[in-house]
Amino acid sequence: MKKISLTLKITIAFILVSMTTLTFIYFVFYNLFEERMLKSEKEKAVLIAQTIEPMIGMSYYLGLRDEIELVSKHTVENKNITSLRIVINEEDIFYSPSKQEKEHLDISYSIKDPITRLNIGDITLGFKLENFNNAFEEIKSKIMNYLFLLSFVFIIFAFITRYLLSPLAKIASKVKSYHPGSRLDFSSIRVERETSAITDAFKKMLGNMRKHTTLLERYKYALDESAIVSKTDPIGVITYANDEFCRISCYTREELIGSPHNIVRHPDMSTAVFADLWKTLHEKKVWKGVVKNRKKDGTAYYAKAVIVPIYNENGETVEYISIRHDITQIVKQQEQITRQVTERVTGLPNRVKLEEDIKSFKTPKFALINLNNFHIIKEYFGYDIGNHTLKETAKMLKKHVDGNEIKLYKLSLGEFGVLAGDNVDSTEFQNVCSSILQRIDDFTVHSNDDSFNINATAGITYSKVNTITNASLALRQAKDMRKELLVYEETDNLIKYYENNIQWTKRLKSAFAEDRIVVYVQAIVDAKTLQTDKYECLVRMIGEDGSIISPFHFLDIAKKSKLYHTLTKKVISSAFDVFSKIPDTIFSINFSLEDLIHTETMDFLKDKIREYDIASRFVMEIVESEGIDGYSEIVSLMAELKSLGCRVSIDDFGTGYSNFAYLMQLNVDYIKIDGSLIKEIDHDINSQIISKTILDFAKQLGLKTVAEFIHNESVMRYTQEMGIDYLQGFHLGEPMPIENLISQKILLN
Amino acid sequence: MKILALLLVYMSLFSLDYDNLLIRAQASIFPKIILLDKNINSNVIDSTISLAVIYNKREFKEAQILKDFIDSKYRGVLGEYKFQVNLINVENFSDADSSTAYYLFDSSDSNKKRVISHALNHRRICFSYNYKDFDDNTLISLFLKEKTYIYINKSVINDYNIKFVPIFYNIAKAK
Repeated sequence: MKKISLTLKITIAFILVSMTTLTFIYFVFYNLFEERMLKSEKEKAVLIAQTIEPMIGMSYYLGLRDEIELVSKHTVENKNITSLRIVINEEDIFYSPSKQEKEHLDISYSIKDPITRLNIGDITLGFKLENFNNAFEEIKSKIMNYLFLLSFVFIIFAFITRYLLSPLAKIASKVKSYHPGSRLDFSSIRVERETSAITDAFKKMLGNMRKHTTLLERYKYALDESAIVSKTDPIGVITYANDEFCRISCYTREELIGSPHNIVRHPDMSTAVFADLWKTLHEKKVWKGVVKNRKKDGTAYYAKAVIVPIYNENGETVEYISIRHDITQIVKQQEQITRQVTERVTGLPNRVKLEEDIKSFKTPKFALINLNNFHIIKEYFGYDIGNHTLKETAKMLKKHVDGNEIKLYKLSLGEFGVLAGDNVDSTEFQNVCSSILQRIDDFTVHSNDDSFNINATAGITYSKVNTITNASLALRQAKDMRKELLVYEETDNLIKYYENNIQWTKRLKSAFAEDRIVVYVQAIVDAKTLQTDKYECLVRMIGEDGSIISPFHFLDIAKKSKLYHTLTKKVISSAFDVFSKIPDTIFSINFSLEDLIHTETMDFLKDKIREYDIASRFVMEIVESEGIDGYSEIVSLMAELKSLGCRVSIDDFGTGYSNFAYLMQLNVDYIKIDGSLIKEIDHDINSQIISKTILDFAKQLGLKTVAEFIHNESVMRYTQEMGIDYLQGFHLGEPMPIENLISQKILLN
Repeated sequence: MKILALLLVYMSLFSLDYDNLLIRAQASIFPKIILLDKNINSNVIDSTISLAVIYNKREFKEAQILKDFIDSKYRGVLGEYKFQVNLINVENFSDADSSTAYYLFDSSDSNKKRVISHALNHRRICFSYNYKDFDDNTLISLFLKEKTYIYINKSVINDYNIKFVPIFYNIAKAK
């Protein structure tokens, strides 16, 4: 729609105001005049009626009909009277009909008896409104004339207005055609006080604009020199790119302008970031963030970006300006720093970060969580699956652990750290740790075709000093005490325990060095004949003072100090060496899961079997079989050993791990009923029931059974009566050095 | 018939020249004029308005006619008052007469002047048959011409001190 000029607007406004005022005045005047005049006319008529009424009343009273006639006629002679009717006592005394006047006023007036003042009749008077109408017509005519005259005034007013406003139009035209750099010349414009003020104002404004433009240009220059600047239209098409943008993106300006801004979008940037960016911009807010962009050659650069929506006076976004700073160097440095404090496999913060974080808390709560037997997993399944286990576990724990108050770390092999700050109390922290352990326990690691469960132990400390060490101590003690979780307490016990461990490690190493690790054997007798049929090889350490030390005291130390496999090898060597010299004697050696999955140990064993060729007399006794079913390769290992002629026995059957189905896959030959069941079997009903069940199970499968812990005659008798095949225990023979066996056999022979 | 004709001739010879129609008109209007007196109550005795028709021996017949007309028209009631017409021979007129109004046929009679004087003194309306008798100070008269004219004697109206309802002055002609 074409805009109407100010001149026309003023004129129309003037006309509207004038017309409205006139119309208002006209109507007010008309109505008032009409009302007043009509009233006046009516008053005239009433006055006439009032004048003649007493005379008519009196004349009627006096019976002067002729007088009434006379008065009436006289009245009718009045040119304004159009009709007159006098009715007294329902008698038409006088009637002069209407003179066919179009507009007249009828009034009725009561005639009263002059004596009684009672109404005796009515005077009905028709009063001509000619004067009234004439006056009205005259007024109308005058108003119309004035209006006609007024229209000329309007036209003149319009021309005057146009003339007066013409400088403004010229100013507008000049300002409109102005562009930065040109001169704004108002000299040709008629000088009026107001127009002069306007032109002066424009000149001043122009001066200010020039100053601001100069400043803005300098700002722009500064911005272009210091930042990557680009502008896009509302749909993201680049409309401006500064030199820095061209330089860093390796695109030419021609390539950039007209292209969508995602020409530099790096595929690593998540769509969520851009969704947030557009959402923010559509809300007409400023978006700030770090973006990873791609250069023309495909390499990346990082930029800290501020994107500002530019909108017009109607609030509509017309473009976006993006100001970015190249922070590639900073990001790379940050990545480097992050790498230094991040564990590579899991992506969790590492020990360096943990130590930093511990310092930041007044009362840190820290738990060291160790995946039990992780070293076995890694050794057995290999490096990749070990890492996969860590990754999966870390991923699972990340979901579970609140990253704000409680942080997760990846420490040494198979160990995670959990750290809480001052806002978490110790009870809550302990609950979280218990929950984490439970989740690890419930967690199944899937890898290729395999899947296995893991479990963990935690050591917790609330001390700020030696935090990690204390947690580690608590963890070790928890493991030794076979507890799932233990809180470090600064007591002598733990320190002594730790010192004790150190001491035992030293003693063990010393024993190895001094060849004080020896093999003992304990007889296993035929339950029916009570003849010694086989021997179980046991390891002992000879103390510095010559005392015999049970493996109970040093076996765990051996495992921790990496002497365990040496210990196993020692037993294998001694056993095979001795029993090769004692024909027809069956012997068994205990192997733990760690032994079974330790390729080097197993290869050593196979070599010995092959070397001595006494596989048929060798029984491989699997101890601590709990969790063995997670290692499918053990089945094939057992099969291989059995193919060599070895036999297999399961130790401690019945109380610990008893996966019957799996054990059957191992094709075992003996089941050794756990000592705790045998110990009181002569009087404990439960032990009897379980043992009998095991016995029935073994018999059905054709397996031989061994009862250990035969410590008295009563137990021996009972087990014999039960039908157990072999017996072992102090009552039948205490362990003795393996060397003694040779001399004993020589003597016997 | 002859006797009747002779009687009429006799009567015409001995009767005065009084217009019967005028008498009728006066009989109709004059009692009403009595009521136009604003102070009528002061002149009414026992709620009775009395009109004294003063006659002499030559006027008796007209006086009787007048009385008959009035009686037949008003039947003893005038407005809210009782109304009686008394024929009084002028010779028998007493100064103690208390009639509300007086009617005179011919005022030239000296005896009648006494009546007029009595009426004037006692604020009583004094009607006269002929307005020409106004020189004798009667107050109101009536004359029939092309229309009915009521005359009021302006020279004595103040002397009578009688206040009529104002509009009456519009109807009556001052003489």
